[in-house]
Amino acid sequence: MLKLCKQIQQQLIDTGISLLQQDAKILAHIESCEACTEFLQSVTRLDAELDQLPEYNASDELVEKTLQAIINNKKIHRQQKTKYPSRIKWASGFASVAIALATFGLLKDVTLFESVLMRADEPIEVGAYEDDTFSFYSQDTPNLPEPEEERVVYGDSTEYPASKQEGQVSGAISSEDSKPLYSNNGKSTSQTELGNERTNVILRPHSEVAKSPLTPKVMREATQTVTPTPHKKEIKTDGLVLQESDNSALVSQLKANQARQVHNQTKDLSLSLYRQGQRSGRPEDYRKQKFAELSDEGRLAGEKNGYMRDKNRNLDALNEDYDRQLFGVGGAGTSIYPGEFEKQNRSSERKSNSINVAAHLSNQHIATQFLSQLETVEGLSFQEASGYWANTYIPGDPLIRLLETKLQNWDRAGLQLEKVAYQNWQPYDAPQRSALTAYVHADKRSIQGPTRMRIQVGLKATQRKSGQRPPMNIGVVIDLRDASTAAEFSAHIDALLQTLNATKQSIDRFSLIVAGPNGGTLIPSGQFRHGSLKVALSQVLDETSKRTHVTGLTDALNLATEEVSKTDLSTLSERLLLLVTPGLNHGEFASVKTAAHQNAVAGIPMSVVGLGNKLDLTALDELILIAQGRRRILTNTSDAGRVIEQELLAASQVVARIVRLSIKLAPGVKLIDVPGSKRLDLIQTEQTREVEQSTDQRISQYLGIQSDRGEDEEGIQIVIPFMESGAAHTVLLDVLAEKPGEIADVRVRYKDLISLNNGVARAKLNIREGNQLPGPIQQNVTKNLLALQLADSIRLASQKLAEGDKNSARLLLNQQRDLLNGMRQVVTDWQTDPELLADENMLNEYLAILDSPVMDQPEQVTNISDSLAIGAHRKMLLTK
Amino acid sequence: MMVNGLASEVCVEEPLVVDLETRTWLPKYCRGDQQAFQQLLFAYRRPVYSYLARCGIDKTSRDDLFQEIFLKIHNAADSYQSSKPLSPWIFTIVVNTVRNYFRAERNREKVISIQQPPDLIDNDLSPDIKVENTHLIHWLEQEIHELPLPQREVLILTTIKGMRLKDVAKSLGIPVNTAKTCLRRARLKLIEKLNMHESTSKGEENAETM
Repeated sequence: MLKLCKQIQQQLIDTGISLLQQDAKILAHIESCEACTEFLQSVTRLDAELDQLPEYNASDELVEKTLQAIINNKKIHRQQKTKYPSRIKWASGFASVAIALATFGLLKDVTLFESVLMRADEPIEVGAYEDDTFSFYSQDTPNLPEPEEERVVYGDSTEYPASKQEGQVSGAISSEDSKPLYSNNGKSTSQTELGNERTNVILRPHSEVAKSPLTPKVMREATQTVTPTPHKKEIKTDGLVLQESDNSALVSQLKANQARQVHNQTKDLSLSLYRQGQRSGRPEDYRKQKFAELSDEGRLAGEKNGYMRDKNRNLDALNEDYDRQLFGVGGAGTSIYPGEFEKQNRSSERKSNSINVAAHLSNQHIATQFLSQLETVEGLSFQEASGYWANTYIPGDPLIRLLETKLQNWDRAGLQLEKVAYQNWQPYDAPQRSALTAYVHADKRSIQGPTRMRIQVGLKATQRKSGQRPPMNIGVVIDLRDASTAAEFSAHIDALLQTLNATKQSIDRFSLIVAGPNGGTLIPSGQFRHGSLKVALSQVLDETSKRTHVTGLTDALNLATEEVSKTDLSTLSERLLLLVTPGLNHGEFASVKTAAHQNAVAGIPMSVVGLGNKLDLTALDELILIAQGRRRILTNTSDAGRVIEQELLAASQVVARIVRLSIKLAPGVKLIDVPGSKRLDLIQTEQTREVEQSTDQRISQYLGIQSDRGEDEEGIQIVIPFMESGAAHTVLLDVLAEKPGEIADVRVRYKDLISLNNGVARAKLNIREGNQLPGPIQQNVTKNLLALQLADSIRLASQKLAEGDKNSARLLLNQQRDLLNGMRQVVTDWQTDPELLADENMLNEYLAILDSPVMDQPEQVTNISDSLAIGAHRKMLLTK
Repeated sequence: MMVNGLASEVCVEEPLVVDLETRTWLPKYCRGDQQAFQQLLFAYRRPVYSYLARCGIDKTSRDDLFQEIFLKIHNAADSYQSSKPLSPWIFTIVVNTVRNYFRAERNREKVISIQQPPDLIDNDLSPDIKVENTHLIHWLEQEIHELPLPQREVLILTTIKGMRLKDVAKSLGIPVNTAKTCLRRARLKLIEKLNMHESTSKGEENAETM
């Protein structure tokens, strides 16, 4: 056999037939070599046969037995493991040795000691503490006879000899009480019932339990079912044993006391749950730890008596009991939702205190549930951490400006409502030397193993103003419907248009539309030049020219809207209509207002430049309020430069353009969601790419910043058209990290309008292994998630209210208020947090107004709906 | 069923979502979620039982060992680190339990005949082919059982559950290269025997036709 054949066959046996796909040379050799071909066939055949090997399966009976054995063993295991801390065991060990030595020292009979130790035919017994008793177990267990010993059953605690149990519980327990519930040849099975919980217990003698190396024989015995014989039922709690048939009322009272105790403990637990959970890193861990502490201190009802000894089942019982009391399986809080408490409050003064307390507690419960939901890893679906996602940074939304204008004259009766809604303070320092900087944080400081977490990518813009305005797409509409005023203000109009032309940049797109005789689109977008302007103005301002047609102001506005909407910059440039008018008292005012409103809703605001000093400012103000623009007055030609400069540089707060945010998740980190955003479809992605590239090239032309766009990057990509000075923007990601280490790599590319170059900001997130406490930064991430949820809820409530669904709106706001309230209670640092308090107060105001009689007036409902919409917008974008 | 551990090692680098989910079972169980252990038990009952069967352990001992293994898993649940995959951790317990069993009982020599494999799942095959396949698989089971224990362990673990060679090596406590060598030898031996078996079968068929 050739050496090559041997090598190939070795590779074939290692790699299988996939080797052929990797190397064409090997394939060629195999085709030409008979031995290798035969070998390949053999490998393929073996693989096929191995593939067909069936799996053996354990029988259901065996699986059930195994589970049962584990359940039984669990009780034993936990008792052995958790009763005493290791230091006590060590101390007891030393004490035993010391006692033994002292004893032998006194007896001075070492030979006896040796003889005892050397009795090979007997099992060696080793002393060990089992709870309060000193018991013996054998290292050589299988052949030992099982001692018959009376067993006592307390709840599901089964492994205590009567003598020990008597010593452990209070003196109220008589020996008669300490009888097994069911017995059968030394093995007993008990069936206890408390509340709704029913527990099956299999009893075995203590010695067997204590010895119990986990041999199959023992397991088989452990799983043997014993038919119970009926016995008088006993309930044991707080050191008392009662026969239920004798005094069922007292039993009920005891149960109630116990439930109350459990509830109180749970309340304490919940109050400090998150607080402490932060310290330990996991609320569940803290819950267990706290429970263990309570159990050790004997504070939990019945724990000292061995009642509900299984910690986990006890926790479940606590939770169930808590849920039952709060959410409606009997008890004071019988409503499903806390909002119902308020109804009851109105109707019944007597119930109010308990209801308020329940609502108070339920808020904590809601907050605890919210926090536990953030941790859950069950039933998650994951998304590909790549592709384009929707941008959520949309400052200056014209629709919001419109709504704000609408609400300016609303009588709020002293309520602040949406006016107190501001973006949370973000822990991002503004950059000094560049336009933007990036931060990345998580709500976990350190993790152990697979952990769900929120990642927060923060963008912070510099406080400086760039002086660079975004591209402008302006449709200038000149109102020349009145021939006399046209002649009067021809110089003003000429000065204004010439100034506009002088300030025009190459990326800008201006157009000229005239309303009046011979009006229409005189200069289309892209042809706004000095010569064209002169010709056009001479045409419309020449009184001697023949009138062919007359264009109305509304038609002119519609033509201007068409002009500003048809360029490729329409999505990224600032679109604006500029109406230059000597006055609006020439009819069409109503239709002009309608057109202006429609444009504003479509994102095209309109500013008005009034000519002269005899204007009706009321009409102008009315129009600009609807049109979401600004009002300017041009009284003489020398003012033209100031007016245009103010109008155009109003947008010069932009410090960064086409911000491309790329978030690359490390291997092993799975994306669950990008809260508040959504994945763009193919068409939207393509549109985003086109706009980005087009803007990139234009910025390259007019600002000299090198064009660098055109290729996609790895990871989640979000393109933000621009960022204004001082702005802070946060993108949240919900992820599942497999292990500590690198989590995310963030890269932000942008056109820096401060230093006029391509800017790049980078940030990486590494999470260490451990169980460190979340700090303020980590809490800020959770707070931002709350803010996002608040904004979403308010926005949805606004929609519901607009649809006339008042109850749904109230429910949404109520839920959110309760969550915020609960979070303030369970997170220590948030108890007096001004931002959360402000949000909560805002929601309280909304809830109060929703319950007031003003809701009978449709216009008030509309106002509140608008107010909610503005509040949602402000919460996410408006910085104080 | 993954046969070749190397191929899978190349293909699967990142942990699968399913794998991540399995890693939460034991931590959840430690926090008191009883269902989590049941999930684990139901997920691993076949692989563990198949491993025991293919190691040549008789039915009674197999059931005992099955229980013992899951009790060990239950007792050692606290020591599982969820940053690591679950399968190697479980199969470390399985392998050690089986090794202890062989060592303690000294019944490696007392080979108990492998039970008749269950019916093949493919019901579309003709009865002749079914019989032939069943016979072949039974033969293959016996050949696997005659492999030396280290080779058998590697082959079974890579065959069952599609474990990666790296994980198999970790479970067995041997270097990856040693595991690779064991697997190669096992496969070579099986190929040789398969070829011999086929030639023998053909010879018998020819003799019958003559």
